[in-house]
Amino acid sequence: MDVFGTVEAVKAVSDLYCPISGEVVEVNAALGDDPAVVNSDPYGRGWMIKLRLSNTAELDQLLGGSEYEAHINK
Amino acid sequence: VRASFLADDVAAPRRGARNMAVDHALLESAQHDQTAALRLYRWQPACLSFGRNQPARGFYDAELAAQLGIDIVRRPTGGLAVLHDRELTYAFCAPAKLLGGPRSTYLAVNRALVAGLRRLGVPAELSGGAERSRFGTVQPCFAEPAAGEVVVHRRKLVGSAQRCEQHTILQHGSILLDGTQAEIGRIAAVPFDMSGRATSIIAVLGSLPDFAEIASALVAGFQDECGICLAPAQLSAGVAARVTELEQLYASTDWTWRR
Repeated sequence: MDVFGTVEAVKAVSDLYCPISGEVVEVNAALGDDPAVVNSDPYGRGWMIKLRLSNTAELDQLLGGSEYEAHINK
Repeated sequence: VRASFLADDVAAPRRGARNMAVDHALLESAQHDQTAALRLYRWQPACLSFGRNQPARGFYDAELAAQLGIDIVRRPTGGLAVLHDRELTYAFCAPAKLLGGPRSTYLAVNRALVAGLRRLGVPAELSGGAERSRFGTVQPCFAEPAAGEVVVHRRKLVGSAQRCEQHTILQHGSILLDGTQAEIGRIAAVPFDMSGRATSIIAVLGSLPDFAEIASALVAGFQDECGICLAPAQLSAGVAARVTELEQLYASTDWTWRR
């Protein structure tokens, strides 16, 4: 998976991995000034990038929000 | 996992750009070779460092820093501003899986620091409290301990930050030997009140053990808490060459003042 950016939580900077293939067509520059929106409104104003998908079949392999929450709580 | 201990830059303090280049090169080396490394070092001249994503333009005065003989650099890791002067700095690099991931590594390294400091007689402990971000604040790193950081009597003794890249972790941080970081306010656009916030080895012990004793205690702490055996080493030729390349990045105005 390609790295499309980094995210800082408290004082740890980590890579952000892109789980599907495609071309980045838009970046939410507002997050640079107020990254906490990723926590407060992750499915709305907290979007990070817009991707033009190169293979929509890859979407079938992704987890939904509740599934991912269960995964990281294992 | 093979693990090295590098301490050449304790006796010969380095400029900020070189110190950040070495830490970054060790991160890459740990990723490439699946090895771990502990490095101890110092800084000369004194150097203000910004966190990787910290807004700095307009908050800190480069001209004033230059007049005071203070260098400025931006770290590869997160967090807030630190004035590296009377301190011993540690850097630890390892594959993320060695200690169980970024969060586990953060706790293990802080426990190793506590164990090492206690060998010196410093009653260090981990800070409690909830994790919360101070992103965007102009306060320096030592104004407040984050959860899990090393404190003595609730005052911050070690300020640490982390970078996780390609499943490999760099964590580095400042162990204050003397002072309270109050000088950082002299080059900031807004005043800081650092009274009662930070502490130092000298403030706690009344004197400073020699560097060999401190290094020996910290190595023992890392070996005990991280379950590794640290063999004394020097930078390999390959890593040293990469340091020279990365030093140009960390010395550049574009990187230091990117935000």
